[in-house]
Amino acid sequence: MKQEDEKLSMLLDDQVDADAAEVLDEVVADVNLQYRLRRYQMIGEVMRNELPPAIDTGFHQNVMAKIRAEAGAAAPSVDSPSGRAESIPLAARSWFRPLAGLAVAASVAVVTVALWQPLQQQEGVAETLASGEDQQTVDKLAGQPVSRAVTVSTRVQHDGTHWITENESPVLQQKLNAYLVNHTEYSNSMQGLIPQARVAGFDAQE
Amino acid sequence: MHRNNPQIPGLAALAERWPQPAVLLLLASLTSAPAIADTAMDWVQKMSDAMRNLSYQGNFVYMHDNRLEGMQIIHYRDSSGEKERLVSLNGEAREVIRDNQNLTCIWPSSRKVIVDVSRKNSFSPIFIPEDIARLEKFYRMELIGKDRVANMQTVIVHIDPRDKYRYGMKFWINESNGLLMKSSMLDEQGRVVEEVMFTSLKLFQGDDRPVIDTMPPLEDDYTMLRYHSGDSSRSFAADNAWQLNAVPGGFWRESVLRRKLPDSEDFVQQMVYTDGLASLSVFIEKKNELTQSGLSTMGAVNAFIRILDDHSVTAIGEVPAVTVQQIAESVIYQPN
Repeated sequence: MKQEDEKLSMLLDDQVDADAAEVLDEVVADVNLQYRLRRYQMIGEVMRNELPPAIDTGFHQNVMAKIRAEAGAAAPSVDSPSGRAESIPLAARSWFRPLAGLAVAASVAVVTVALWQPLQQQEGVAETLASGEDQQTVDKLAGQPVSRAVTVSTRVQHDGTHWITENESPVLQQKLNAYLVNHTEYSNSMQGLIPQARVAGFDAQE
Repeated sequence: MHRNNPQIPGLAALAERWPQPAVLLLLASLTSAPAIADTAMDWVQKMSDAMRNLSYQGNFVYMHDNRLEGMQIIHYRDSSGEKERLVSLNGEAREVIRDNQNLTCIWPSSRKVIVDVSRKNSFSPIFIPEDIARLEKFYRMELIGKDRVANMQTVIVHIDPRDKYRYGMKFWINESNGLLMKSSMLDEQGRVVEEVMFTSLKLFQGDDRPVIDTMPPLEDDYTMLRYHSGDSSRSFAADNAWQLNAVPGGFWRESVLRRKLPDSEDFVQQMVYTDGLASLSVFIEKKNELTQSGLSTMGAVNAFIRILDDHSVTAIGEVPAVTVQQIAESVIYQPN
């Protein structure tokens, strides 16, 4: 555990080298380690006074309520102990329908459907982690209080796949998502795998 | 020739003491090894060639904001072009498979598949000497050291923008084969905003590689959500009256596309600009009642929306906010 902590610390300090490759593989395969890493990140931000003035925890609650209301019985896994949300049928997801009709080139709309709908799924995973048996596991693993667990995940999600805009609007979010996918598809810049990872990463779940 | 090379001292003395074949072998190894005198741009050129031409498989992590995601990539090139398969290692094992013709997305959990038209001719840009000379006007490129990534030796190239219109980058380039092992995108303050790093990598030699099929056989319970896109993705002649009158130095228009929007008589025009390293797109379409101007940000990507008469103009790309704003505000409509 101590060695893992040291390597997680290296990740946070941007001192990743080949010695940390092994723990990186472990982190990407283990939601509990990811959770711990994120908590450490938040602790670091608190110490460096880098947190935003307000954290929108309501966003997370609203999304969860929407998932439950619209997916209904078709989405039992949202609250399942496994924390997996992918068993929600695609067609039952409310965000699938507006995205499918996006006024962009068909391929862009297609990829956008693929890439953005898990935003709400990830929120579902976060809540499951914070409230179920998994939470106890996480708590035990991290060895720290978890009262801010949902807040941590919500903030991560909000920053990661959510546009920070001057005018908050779901339509704007979808439009920008579609533009970004189209931009990635048509542009050819030298950034290594970052563009592909950025697009494929939209669908990653925790 | 190398016997007189002042950069390789002592070769003449070696030749006198060692058997000639041994000296020739030594010389061959010296000339085939990565030249330590290569410039940073030489390494970027090698990296571009390697990313395009080599066949490899590896796991990598993508770090941005507070997120860490694992992915696996298989990339190879054959007589028909490049093929690439990207699989998410977290959550649903969604696959994105791409070649020069098709783009296929597979969701194994929801049993859905989409096949569409690939837009990319190449997954990595091809640099020519003119590109390199142009890049050096807008970026400082230097070798800043060596490092180990995924247990492989790399050289580190730091690309530092000379102005405020582009981000900096760091590349960790495999010293033996030129593959990009790790890359960081740096914001205006030099902070890492996005990073990709291989944790394992295997090169394929000859026919020793898996076959990537953008139309893979799937079980019967899969549903094809879409097979190609039909007329909705067909390109139309661009409206050349849309122009930019204040493009930041070094950016040029790489392509322009105009498509008809699905279920509409309206069009969207996309103009792609690049400086060779960074890129951005300008999207122009009829505005609607919900369109609002302003800046939006997600990770290293910025977007600026501007209302111009009855159109919305959106500049979006992996460039600083000042760049997308200036680009969007420079768009004019100038019919002949």
